[in-house]
Parts: sequence; structure tokens; C-alpha cells
Amino acid sequence: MTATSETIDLDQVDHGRCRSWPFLQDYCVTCALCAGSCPASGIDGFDPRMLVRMVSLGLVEELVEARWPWICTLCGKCENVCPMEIDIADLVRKIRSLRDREKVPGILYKGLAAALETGNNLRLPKEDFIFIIEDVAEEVAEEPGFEEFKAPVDKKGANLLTTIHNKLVNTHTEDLKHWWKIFHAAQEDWTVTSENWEGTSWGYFTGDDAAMKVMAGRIVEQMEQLEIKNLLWPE
Amino acid sequence: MKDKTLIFGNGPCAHYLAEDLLSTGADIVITTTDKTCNFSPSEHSGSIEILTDTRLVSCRGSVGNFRILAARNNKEIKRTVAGVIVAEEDQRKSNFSLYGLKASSCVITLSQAKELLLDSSHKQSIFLKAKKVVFLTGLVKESHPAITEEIMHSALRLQSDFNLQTYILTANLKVAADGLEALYRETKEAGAVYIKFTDTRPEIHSKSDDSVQIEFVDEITLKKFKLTPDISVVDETIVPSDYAADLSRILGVDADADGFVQADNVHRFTVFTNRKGIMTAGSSRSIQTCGDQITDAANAALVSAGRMAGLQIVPEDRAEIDKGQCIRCLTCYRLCPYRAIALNTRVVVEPHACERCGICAAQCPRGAIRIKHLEPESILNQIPKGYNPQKEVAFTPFIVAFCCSRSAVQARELARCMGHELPSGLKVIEVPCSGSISFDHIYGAFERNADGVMVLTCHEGNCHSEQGNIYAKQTVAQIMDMFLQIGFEKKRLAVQTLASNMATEFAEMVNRFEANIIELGPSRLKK
Repeated sequence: MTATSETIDLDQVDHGRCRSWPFLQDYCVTCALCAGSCPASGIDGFDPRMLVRMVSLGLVEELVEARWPWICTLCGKCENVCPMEIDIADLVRKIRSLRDREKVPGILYKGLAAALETGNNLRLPKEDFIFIIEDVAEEVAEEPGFEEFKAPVDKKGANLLTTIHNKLVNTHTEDLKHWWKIFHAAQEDWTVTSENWEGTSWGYFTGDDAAMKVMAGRIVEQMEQLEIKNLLWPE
Repeated sequence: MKDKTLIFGNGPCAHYLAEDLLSTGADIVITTTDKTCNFSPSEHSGSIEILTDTRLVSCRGSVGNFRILAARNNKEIKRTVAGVIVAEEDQRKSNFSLYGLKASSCVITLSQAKELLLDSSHKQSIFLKAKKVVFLTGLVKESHPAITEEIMHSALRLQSDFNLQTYILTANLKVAADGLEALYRETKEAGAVYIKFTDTRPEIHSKSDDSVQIEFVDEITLKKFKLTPDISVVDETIVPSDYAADLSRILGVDADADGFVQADNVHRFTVFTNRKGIMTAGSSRSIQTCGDQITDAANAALVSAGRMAGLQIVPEDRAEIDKGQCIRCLTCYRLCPYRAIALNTRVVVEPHACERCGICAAQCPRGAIRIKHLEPESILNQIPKGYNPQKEVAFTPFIVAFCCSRSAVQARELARCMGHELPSGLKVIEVPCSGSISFDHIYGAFERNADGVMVLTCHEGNCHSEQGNIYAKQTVAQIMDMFLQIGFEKKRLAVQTLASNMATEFAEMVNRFEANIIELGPSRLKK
């Protein structure tokens, strides 16, 4: 976003339009601690302070169409330092939610649609998922000290259910092993589910609360069916 | 003797003060240029006299014994009082011209806006028909927290009771007073929009029909905006009253750059002036909020009540003028920052007013003024005679640093505590004020084998004696001039300013100076 030479007539601007939002953006004292702490500050000119100010002034359409809200990583450093306790990350999510779903950046839009349809962002079939899990488990079992290792799938009554980030059954299968070795060493009674195992919730990143609810609901459903008490949701 | 205090003023602060003093049993005199005074004290034990329509003519004497001459309808009024407190009200000056605007039906002052908002009927209010109201503040001249507070209160009323959109165009937002941040939040919650200008300023156009159009770039969003307010409210500058300015001149009390009755000098805060026994409180010294005025009044009353205790004993170590030596040149009278020199049949020191800064003694062309324990010989006796570290293997410069007790001495202490390495040949000599350093002190130090002499003093504007550090600089400059003429290295002499917390800087200064002296080698004046 850059400075425009076009003059905005304040007679045409309704400053109150976002006032009902619960993020306290109107308290901004423009101190710029947010901009100073933001790891994404400066990418494409991204400036969280400017974003907060534009919402406060009611200039929200421009933000909805801009790339800015999608540069933010929602890490929340800005709200940690904000002296006025403005919920800047949630404010960014809110702006993301106002964009037409078709205009949500490609991978997020497609991934979320896939997750809602198939239970995971990759559209990975159940058999393939189980194959990958078993394959990685065998590799772990080949390592000294882990000879007995097995990755339990859909184990009823397990103590702990862990979700899986889709990249761990895609490009980063090695990273599964770290978790599993810890479980093994701690003698944890754990399991993964063969369906709806997706640990990411791109409803969160796209500001789609309804999608988040669906994804979380599925996990809860699985826990109830398998009578599992605890959930590890590393996302 | 009963402690009688004279109060100048007829506003809330003066009245708080009067009440406080009367409750301690003190006698008071209230004088005001107003025709009436509606102060009605509650039960008290002190006596009160109210002089209305009265102006001060002169104030002689010193703390405990001020002789006041005032005038009322060309008649003289004389009173003798122990203390004086200036608690005059301030004035407001509207800032139309600063923004290139003129008063009109839609361009009003902050005071006018406040008055309109006070009118509870609202019926005729110009705010009823308006949609947008702009407040202009601090854009050309610094604003004041009291003005900010009034603007915020007004904006809050306009947003919540009139459902208007308010804009506050400001440079620095002055929220450094109690409760202002909370009030700021309230106004933001109510919908007021603040536009702060740091690097740019809004363009304010006044059109032929008196309406105002403002164009500006919001410095945060970098967007250009056009704003057409229905009403523009311009801020006001708080200035001392004309009479308060007269008072500081007649009383011989230092005023700050804006003319308020107190120098902008940390040593004077909260209610003191350069003249012992003369205090200032409230609006006279640019204190605005009601709470602060009450505190100020109480402080002044406290100081006033405690004053008598110290007045029973005449201090012995104050400046004394040798009447045989004095040629009545009035240098001391002119230079004394505390107005402790009185012109009676001869020139004398008011012992209670003297603060022992030593400026008069240092500057007297006849050397006619003596202050016990502060004579050049007593000061120089701190340098051991025949001391000459040069005899040691490597050249260790002997450096004498005359240090002001209020700054450099403290900085040296701190430097030692912090473990800074200081020159081994450094001799620090504490003086009450660097203004007490005369030619004799500096020559004396060189005579006693100093390779270099430093005068370390307070920053300008921070001198307890107001000008002492400036006199010290002048003295050093004159000596340097002489050194130049006689071919003696002027680098062996230095004057620098410090604050008491500048330990690192102190160490840097003396070490750099030592390095310079090492380069020059031992002084030729050494015995």
C-alpha cells in the first residue's frame, strides 16, 4: 500500500463504521511499537500501525482488497507490546474475513475447501494416509532403542490424541519421528485418527470462523467416538 | 513577632492559600488589583486584612522583614511582612492569527466553546446545527496540558451530547497531567478523531464566507484528506497577567521565558523564587489544574509556616562588606541573584537573604566582600603547598578542579562509585557556586603548582544562583585572554558544564583534560 495523491473528502468517510468491533483499535496512540516489533514490517510496506489507523478512520475497503492483511503472520508480537492493548492480530483476521472467499489467496482458499470436503488440506485418501504413517513407523522401529515402536491409528480409549499437520505426511515426514520418539520414551498411550487428522485450521488464517468450528468439531467428534480424554493440537 | 504573610492574588489559589495560612494561625494581608474580593474565611485564629484595588510600588528588606509600599487611589499603603506569596491569576490569549484565521460565527475560541457548552439549555447553541467540529491546538506554538484537557472535555461533550464528529488537529498531544490519558481514551471511545502532526502541518484556508477548509496529509496513513468543519475552535495560549509581570519586576524575582513568576530552574521548584521569603504559587508560575493549584497553595503555606523557625538566629557566615574598602560601585547589588544586597546609608548584606554563593566576593573590584571560609586563601589552603608530583618518574599532571557543590562534586562522587578511572593528580575543590571563583582562585592554583585548572559548573539555566555559571565562564574567558597575551598556554585552563548525574561525562572531561596537559608538559610556573 502506498500514499495516494487522491484527496479523500472526510464528508464521505464514516469514522464510526468499525467502532463496534471489539479490538480497541480506536485507542491507538500511534506510538508505533507495533510496527517496531512486527517481523513482517516493511514487507510490501506493511505497517501494522497504518493498518490500525485506517480501520479506526473507517477506511476499511481499501484494506480488505489489499495484500497487507495477508502479509501479517498473526504472530501477535504487536499486541504484546501495544500499550493500549489493541488486539491487532484479531483485527487483521477480521479484515481477512471481509474478503470475498474466492479472492482469498490461492493456497489457503483451496486448502481450506479441501479440508472441509475431505478432512484434510491435501485431499489425501485414508489408505494413503495409513500407508504413510505405517511406513514412517517402520523406519522409526529400525532405529536402535525403538525396536518395539508402533504408531497406533484409531486406538480406542487412548490417553492422548494428536493431530497431524498436513506437511508431516507430505514433504516433512521426518518431523513426525521427533514427536513419536518422545511419546515412545515417555510411554505415552497415544493415537492418531485415520480420518479428520488435519491439525491446521486454515479457517483461522482466512478469518473464517465457521470453517474453524467445523474443523474443531470434527476433532471433538473423533475424541468422543474413540473415548479419548486428552488432545494434543500442536498448531 | 507574629508571622505575617502578604498574598498577591484574588483567584482560587490565593484563596486556598489564605485559608491554609489562617488555619495555622498566621496573619495575612491579601492584596488585589480587583475592585472587590469575595474571600470569606472560615473560622480561624489568624487576622486578615484585604486590600482591594491596590498595586505594589516597592518591596524592600529581606525575609522576615519585607517593607511593602503599595498604592490605592494614589494613597500610600505601608505594611511590614515576613513573607510574600505571588498567587495571581493568568490570562488567555486566543490564537486566531497563528492559524491565519479570524473570529467569526464559525471560528471561535476555546473559551467561547466552553461557555457555549456550559449553557445547559442548548437551545441557541451553534453546535445544534453543526456536523463537524475541528479543534486546532499546538500546531504553531506548544500547547499546554490544561488546554488539552479543556479541548478533550469539550470534544467529549460534543461527541456524546450533540452527536457531532470532532477532529482534534494537534502537534504534540500534551497528556502529561493527572487523568488526561484516561480522558483521551474516553474521547476516543466517544468517536473523536485525533490527527497528530510531526513533520507536516495542515493547510488551513479561510474562505470569503468565513467558512474554513482544511487540507492535510495524515502522517500515519500518508493519505491526503480534505476537511470542511462547520465550526472551528482555536486554542489559546496561557500567559501571565500584566500585573504578575509587573510584580516580578518590582519584587526582583526572576521570571521564565514566557514571563511567569518563577525562573525555569529546577532549584526553584516547587514554590520558591530567587528571593528568600518570596514564593509563587498556582497560575503565577503556570500551574493550571485545580488539584495542582491546591497542592501549590499548601506547599507555599507550609514553607511560609516553617519560615519563622530559621529567623531567630542571624547567620554568621554570610557575606560581609568592608565599609572602608567599599566604593559603592554597586557591582554586588547588580549581581546578587538573591537580592541580598541592600542600599541603606551604605551598602550592606541582608544576612537572612544571603545564600553564600560567593558571586559578590568574586566580582567585587575592590575585594571588599568577605565570606567566612570562602576567601581565596581558605579555598586554596586545600591545595598542599610544595606539592609537586612531577618529581615522580613519569609526568603526572597536577590538576585542580574547582567544582560546583550542586553538580560537578556530585558527578565526581558518582564517577568514583561507578568505578571510573580518574587522573591520579586530580584535586577536586568544592565551592558552593562556580560564581565564587575569582582571578585569585585560579592564579592561586597555578601558583601552587597546578599544571591545569578546571572550573566545572552547572548547565546554563540550572544554576541555583541563576547566573553564577555564566560569571564563571566570563572569569575564565578573561584569564584565558590574559594567558594569550603573556604567552602562557590557555589550554591549561578549562570551564565546562555538568549535571550531578553525569558521572561518565565527568570522567571523560577530566581524562581528556589530563591528556591535553600531558601533551603540554609541566607548567612553567611550577616551583
